[in-house]
Amino acid sequence: MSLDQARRIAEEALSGIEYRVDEGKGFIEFIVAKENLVEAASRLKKAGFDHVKSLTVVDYKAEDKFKIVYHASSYLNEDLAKAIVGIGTEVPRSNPKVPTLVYVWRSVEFQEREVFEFFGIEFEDHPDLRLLLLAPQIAEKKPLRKDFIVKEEPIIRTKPPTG
Amino acid sequence: MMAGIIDLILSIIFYPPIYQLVLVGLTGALVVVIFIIWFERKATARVQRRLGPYHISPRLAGLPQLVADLIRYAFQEVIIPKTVDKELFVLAPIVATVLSILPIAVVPLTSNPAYWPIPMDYSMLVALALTTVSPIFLIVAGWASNNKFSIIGGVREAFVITAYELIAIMSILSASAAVLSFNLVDIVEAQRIWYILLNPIAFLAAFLAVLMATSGFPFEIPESENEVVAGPFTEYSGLLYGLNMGAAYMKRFAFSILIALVFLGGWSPFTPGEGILSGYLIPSLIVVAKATILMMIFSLTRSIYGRFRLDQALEGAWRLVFPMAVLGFGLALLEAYLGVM
Amino acid sequence: MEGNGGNGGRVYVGNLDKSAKRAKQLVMGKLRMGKAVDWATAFSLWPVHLTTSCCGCEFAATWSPRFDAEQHGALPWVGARQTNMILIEGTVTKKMACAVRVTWEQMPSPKFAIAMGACAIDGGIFYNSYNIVRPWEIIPVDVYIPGCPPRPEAVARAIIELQRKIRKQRVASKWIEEGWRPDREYVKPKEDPCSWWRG
Repeated sequence: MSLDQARRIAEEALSGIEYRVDEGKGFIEFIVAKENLVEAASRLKKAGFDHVKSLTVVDYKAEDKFKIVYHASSYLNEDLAKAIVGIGTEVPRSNPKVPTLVYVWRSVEFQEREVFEFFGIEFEDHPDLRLLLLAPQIAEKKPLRKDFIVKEEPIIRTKPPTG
Repeated sequence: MMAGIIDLILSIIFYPPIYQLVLVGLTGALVVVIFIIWFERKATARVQRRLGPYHISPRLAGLPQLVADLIRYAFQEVIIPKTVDKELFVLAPIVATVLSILPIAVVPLTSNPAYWPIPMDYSMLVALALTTVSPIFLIVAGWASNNKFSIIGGVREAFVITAYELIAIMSILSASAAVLSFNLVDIVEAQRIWYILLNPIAFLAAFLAVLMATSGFPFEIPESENEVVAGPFTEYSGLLYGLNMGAAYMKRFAFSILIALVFLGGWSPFTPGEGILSGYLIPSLIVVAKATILMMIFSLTRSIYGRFRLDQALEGAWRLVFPMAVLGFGLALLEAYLGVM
Repeated sequence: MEGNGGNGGRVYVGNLDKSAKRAKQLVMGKLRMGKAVDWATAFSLWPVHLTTSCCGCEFAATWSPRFDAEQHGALPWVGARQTNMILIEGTVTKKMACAVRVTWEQMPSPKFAIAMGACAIDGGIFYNSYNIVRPWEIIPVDVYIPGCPPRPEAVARAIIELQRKIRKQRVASKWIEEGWRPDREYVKPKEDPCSWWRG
């Protein structure tokens, strides 16, 4: 109910911008083009989504893209506070550059730094894009990408792994 | 022949400056400090429903714990970092320890004039003056360590000095005002009633001042471990740290002896007579026992109180304890006018 | 600091190394203080406050009123310079490894290390992580405590085992006599744990 209401508000706010909806049980994500991300985010903020709860990145290695999703919600509007709406974009793995949303939602600053060090995604115009948690030797390997290979558990396999 | 040698040895041991500086000042203070730190840890543990040091010697309830700590400190590596001022770094704790027990060497421990270390006419002033010297070397230790925590700790110590020094001197001098004499022997002999009963306000002010002077718990500001690591002692290790830690307790012991003389009647129930035993040994033991009991009360505060901030301690000292000391001094003058003592 | 009075104006400090060596020979050789040193070190293991991970909660519980490890003579202390034991609590990340090694080097010898929890033994659930260091790669560990996390009793047991080890193998006194502990090589990390910081 509240999610439906939130969806309606978000769709109203995003009218005029081309978007794709990814939805599942209990979540909804609006995927827009990279150029429209800042515009869409500021419209959502005007509609009442006043903060970002989390910032997620998914590495689709087979499709050669990153999906970056900001989960926005509200403190002040009680109806919207019950729902979380995602606003995101997709970038190719070869050129992972996204405009920053720091100037829309101030709270994403550290989360964008974390994404930068774990995935190597650069946020353009970010005020302070430094490493946050990792040592530089590890951060340059970009450990949370799919092509970073961790040491496997030494279990005897009867047949070779597939895929 | 044997009796002559024994007499000679006794006269050397009981030569007042040696006896008071070495036996009471160094050895006695060491034993008392070992007992007091054990008592402090044990009492804190009991308040928190713990056992405290125990397994080192279950029969003695862990009393050798401090001996073990001391031996461990004595044999640990002494690290002198490259960035410190070496001479001052090494000298500061040694000088501070020696200076903090120096007041014991000038106070009378008996009324028998044969066993006074110095002429007693102005002994009160000399003892009070000597208590004010040792904190300087805490600041020197902090400065020589060349470490930010040490320097902050040293500066805090300097701030705390401004708070307690006047209070300590004024409240202890109120006894002089009541008796109209700077002679500690006169002050002790004049106490037909212990001075703590005649002037409890001055005693309270002196108590608080001593707590401040020796980093007792509500005022453990220079060494507060959750703000500045170990204050001026952050860079000290091994024996030098042991000396530093001992210096505060030695200073507290010296202050306790002074307070025992001034407020608690000194050797009061006993009247010193002739000869070493009744003229010197027993009265000095009584004074040390009173000082030890006082130190036990001091160390109980560790398990009871939290810690004041620096500004709160300074404000409390100047707004509350300083007027208290002045009031005590006024009371002493009134008593002198009425001739109570 | 070379020679007695050789360096003008430094007479009163003297040659600390030489006099320390002479004092050591006197005390350990002639007076045979070795046993007392072992006894004292065993009952005065002060761990330094360095919480690397979640096992720090159990570290706190070990010294809390209920379990009270202070009865063994161990007292947690703030400054590394005044302590002689380090308790590695759980997993050590690459950045924390620098802090562990620096703290270890700040402590005066004889000093001992206890590794606590499965992560400190061989990584635990983070066994294949890109961001951890095994504690035995950076400091010499004396006692390992298994468990995730270990109970406070296990930590107290480790302290008792360490005490037994010090008194039985006479680690502390031999360490003072020989300059380095007899039963162990000097552990030098293969790669500098602080390289990320020094750049």
